[in-house]
Amino acid sequence: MESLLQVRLDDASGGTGQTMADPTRMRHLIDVIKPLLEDMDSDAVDLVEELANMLRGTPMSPIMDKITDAVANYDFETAMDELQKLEV
Amino acid sequence: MTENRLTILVVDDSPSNVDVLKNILASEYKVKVAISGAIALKATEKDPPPDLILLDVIMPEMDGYEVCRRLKNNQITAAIPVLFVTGVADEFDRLKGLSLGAGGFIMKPLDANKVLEAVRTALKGSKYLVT
Repeated sequence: MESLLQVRLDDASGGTGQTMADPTRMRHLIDVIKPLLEDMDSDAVDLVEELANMLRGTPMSPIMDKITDAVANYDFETAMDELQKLEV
Repeated sequence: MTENRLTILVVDDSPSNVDVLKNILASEYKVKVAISGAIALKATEKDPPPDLILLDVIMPEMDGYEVCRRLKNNQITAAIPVLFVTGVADEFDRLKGLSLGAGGFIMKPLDANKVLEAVRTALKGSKYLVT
């Protein structure tokens, strides 16, 4: 998972290997956000925002936009579905 | 820390209404959100269940009264206190809500102090408040 994220982040930086986001932090955030979404916990909103900020400008940004929109509407099921796409 | 907070499930199809309640409650309680009656019913069967449910009356597909009726008819969820949140509640509405087992009504527009007072009272197990 972490390596996949790293590849995507490398892509975002033009293959220079310089990433704009910390994959370890991302992995951690996703691990924290998932159970919150499953639990319909509103604390997910702030963490999703943090994750969205990390992924802004990366190839994952469109997916993240959908997650952000879903969470803003408290549609945690849709947010979870989209979040899982980040892990494919 | 946060693990010790009591949990309130806010059931409302309007994100802006949820935002208001979340802002009022989040400093003292863990706030969970369900945007429909069906999702709320699923959420309440999870372990641990919420300590209190704030239930919007007017929602599409399944209104708050029906959600409350189902909650109170389910042994797993019957004991969870319910407060209705509504902008309109005449005598008939209030009697209907109370007869379904709700603890009372919180009236819109929401006043933070009144909401917190109603929530604290409901969590203590007192019934029949109308705020």
